[in-house]
Amino acid sequence: MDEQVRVLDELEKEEYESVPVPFQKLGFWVFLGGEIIILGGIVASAILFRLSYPGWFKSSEHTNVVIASINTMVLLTGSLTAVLAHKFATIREWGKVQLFLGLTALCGFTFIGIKFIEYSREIHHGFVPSAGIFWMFYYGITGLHGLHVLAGSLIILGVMLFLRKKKLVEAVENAGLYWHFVDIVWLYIFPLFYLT
Amino acid sequence: MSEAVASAGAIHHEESFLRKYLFSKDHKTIGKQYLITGIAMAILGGTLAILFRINLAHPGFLTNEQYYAFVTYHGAIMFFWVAMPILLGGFGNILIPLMIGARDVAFPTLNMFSYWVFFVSSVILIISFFVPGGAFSGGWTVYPPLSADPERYLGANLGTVLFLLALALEFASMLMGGVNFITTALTMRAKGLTLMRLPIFVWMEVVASLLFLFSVTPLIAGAVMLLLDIILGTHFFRVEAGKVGDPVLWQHLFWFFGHPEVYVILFPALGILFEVITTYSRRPVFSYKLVVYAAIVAGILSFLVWAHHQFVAGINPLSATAFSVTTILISIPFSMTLVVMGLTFAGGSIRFTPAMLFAIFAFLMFIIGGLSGLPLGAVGSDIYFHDTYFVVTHFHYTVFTIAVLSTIAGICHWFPKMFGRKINETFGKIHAWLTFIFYNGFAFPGFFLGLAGHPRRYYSALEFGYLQKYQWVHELMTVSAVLLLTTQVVFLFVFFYSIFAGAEEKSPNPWKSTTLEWLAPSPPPHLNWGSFAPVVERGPYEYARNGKDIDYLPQGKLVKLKQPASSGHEH
Amino acid sequence: MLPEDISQYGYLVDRVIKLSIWGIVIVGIISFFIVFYILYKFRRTKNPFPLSDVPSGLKKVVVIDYVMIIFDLILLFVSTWAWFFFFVRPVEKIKKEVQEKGEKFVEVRVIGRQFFWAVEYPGKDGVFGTYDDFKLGNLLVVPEGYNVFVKLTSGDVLHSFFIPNVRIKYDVIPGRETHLWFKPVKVGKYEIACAELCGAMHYRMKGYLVVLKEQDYLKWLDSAPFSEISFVYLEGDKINFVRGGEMR
Repeated sequence: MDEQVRVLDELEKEEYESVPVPFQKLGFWVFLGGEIIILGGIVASAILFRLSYPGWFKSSEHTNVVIASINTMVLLTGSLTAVLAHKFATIREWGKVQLFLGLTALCGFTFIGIKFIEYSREIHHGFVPSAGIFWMFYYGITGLHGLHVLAGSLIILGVMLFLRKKKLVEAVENAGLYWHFVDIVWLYIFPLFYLT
Repeated sequence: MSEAVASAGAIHHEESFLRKYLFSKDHKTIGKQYLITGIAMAILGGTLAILFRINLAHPGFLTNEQYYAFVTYHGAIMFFWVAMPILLGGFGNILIPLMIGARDVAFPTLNMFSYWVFFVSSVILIISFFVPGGAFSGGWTVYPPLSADPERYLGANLGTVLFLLALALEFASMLMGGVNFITTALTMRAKGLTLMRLPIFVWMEVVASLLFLFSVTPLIAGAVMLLLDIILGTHFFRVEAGKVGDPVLWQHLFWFFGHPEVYVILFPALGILFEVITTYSRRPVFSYKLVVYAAIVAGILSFLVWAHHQFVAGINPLSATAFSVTTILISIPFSMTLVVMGLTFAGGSIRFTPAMLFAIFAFLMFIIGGLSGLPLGAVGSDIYFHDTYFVVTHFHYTVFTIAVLSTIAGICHWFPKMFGRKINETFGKIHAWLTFIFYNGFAFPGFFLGLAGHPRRYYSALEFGYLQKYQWVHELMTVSAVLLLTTQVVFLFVFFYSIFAGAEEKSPNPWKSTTLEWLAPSPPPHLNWGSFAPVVERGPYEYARNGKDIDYLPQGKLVKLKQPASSGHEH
Repeated sequence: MLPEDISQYGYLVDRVIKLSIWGIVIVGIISFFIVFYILYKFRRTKNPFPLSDVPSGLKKVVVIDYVMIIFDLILLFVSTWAWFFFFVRPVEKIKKEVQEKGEKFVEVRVIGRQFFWAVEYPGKDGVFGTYDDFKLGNLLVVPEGYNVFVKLTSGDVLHSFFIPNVRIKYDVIPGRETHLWFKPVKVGKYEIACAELCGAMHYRMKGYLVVLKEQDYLKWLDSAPFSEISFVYLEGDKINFVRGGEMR
């Protein structure tokens, strides 16, 4: 059924009022807009609390900057490979696209693995989510972000499978966009929890 | 390729029952699924309302725990499981692609998924009502600390978690729908259908979807925090000795969503009213541009008014004055919209069909609902009116109008298009009048209770000496409410009867309406337009334009699809 | 409809209520009249074909928008006036003004709990934290003509402290302290309601505001030990004290 819709759409392309963006891209950006506000909402709440509670700074000394920096590097590497994947997709070298997408997903899973080590260290030291205002935001926000990294990695794996059936540049581009979004969110979280 | 075109006319090939009715990707089937589920939930929400309404007339009919659970679920169901699925999921899905001349929504699979997520959320909501520990009973606004520590304050832990989960799934479902609507309406418009030629209903759906997208997302963050509070014992919103949390933060997040949310359901309802009123008064919208701009301005302003729900709830008093100003300001675009609506009747040749009667009543109720918002938006009188029956009555005059009157106007108007059958007109008129009378009998006395200072969410008015003398008002309201629900139940019987056994409607355009959906056959086949494609030539409301015999010009015409010039596409 | 106003400044709120209600009633009636006129005049049986334009007389209906804007502005002005008077001015400033005017005042603390109002009095010396402080449940006793300053806080969930007769309402929030101020000028017994859903017994969270004449109030303060006095009620002009566990 979808195939037929697509064929008809293709035929009708000139029957539609022309718009500068393809609908997949527009839809994806609308979705990203929503995502940005979800994480923006919770980060804004954290900043509000941070401004009014001085205890924040004391707690944030207990976070592990080294591990977090490694994680930042992992995420940024993932972004780089995602960009490379997109670049090779535009020149249709699909083998390399698969390789770099695989690397990106690997970065995602590495990130989550490292995050688990970090969490277990902190919980071992007694910093559970209900230990204080800082820790509840720490776990809430980094946990939510971790879920997004997981989702991003799964999306990229999905795109890898999808590319075997159909070679679509847009799919690589959108998956990459999502990865960049997750990456950028981390760049806000990192200073908020580790560098203060 | 050319075979595809040849078969496009008769694209109805056999599908299994599951594929066709349950897991369909057709926007019309999904729309009808939303509509029917929404109606089912409306029966549930209405029944709850009647039960606790009876309790208000005769305290002791329910226990107080039951009463508060019913009130909570009634509010949540009517907002999130009735008004939103019917107006966005139902009418939006059925009408947006048809009105813009598309074959389906932009992401049909996502659309199907969105419905099933919604369905699951409804099931979880109903389950949450029956779990051990009891249903959540902290009000549909889920204010912490009551909701953040439900075990301690309400005795309903599991119920609260499931309630929040159902809410989150419903939001996710509506977000998917919103992404679909925005993308579809912006990228899949038929040739010639520029933005300023879109039917007002489509404009309203797009603005509503955008509002929802940008308002619900901070609340999702808030819901995550609240769930952490309940499950992990954090204290984002809980206050215990030595631990700082802020219950007011939730109120900010909730109402930052909550106020735009009202417009999320209000705008589609206004859109339906404009379509209905232009058709039956045979006049174009008095000022199309004013309506569109007013909706956009009101949509933007709606993000700046949220704290009027918290005037006396511990926000900075100075900022309360600022919010009072924006709240009063927002009445201006709406008063303009309503004046435009009133002038759309003027000069027309008005047919009082059931749809039109409902639209007229909805219009009148919106006037009352809108005006009664002023004493609440003015911060000085809100000191007294806050959380009294005045508020309850005000939002019932708007939300009931949205979820019932406008919706039924839309159902009567598009019934032939959706199901290819007619719905009895005489019955429809009687139904409209009875609904109008019983509704006002039920709601209007609430204003007097509000003036008397009756706080809302009281299990019984008999506890307070200054309220005892108004018990007869509660009795009057209950009688009217029971009659109101009975009327709607009779309507539902007629509705379902007409779907299966109504007189067939042969003409694709029985009301001589202009917009594109009336060019498609009734009911439209899968992919809507067969081997034709609609081409738009003019604005959406060309009534009273063309002499005396045919007083309208359709917005566009159907042209036969061109054969593809070449099959040089590569995929 | 409004309960009797027994406070010195409740009229400020009443003024906003009356202005807004009368305004919307008048605008509403005019709008309804216009709508019915249009519907009647342009019904199909009388007017079988639509006109090509709205009659110019009817276009003047747009004036309603301007009326609404002007009405909005007046309403905003009056309502903000009342709001500033009650809530925006800091309570210290009001206290100072009151003292400069030579008026008397009392202070009390009210703690909202599931499901009662705990009222703390500073006792005869008017200072909290001294030996003669005492607590009463659901009973706020104040002298007539005094300014009453209430410090509100909550022991558990959200409540809302609402005295219809003095036109005052404010949410009671755990972890925060809110200040209210009113001045009762009529002796009597009035009800205090909770206006924010606080649990299953929300509807029974009832307190009493008892306004006594100054000498009666002083006599009541004198009748120690306070812990034994749990209830005060009025019969006509007479005040009765009930000692020991009569309280609910």
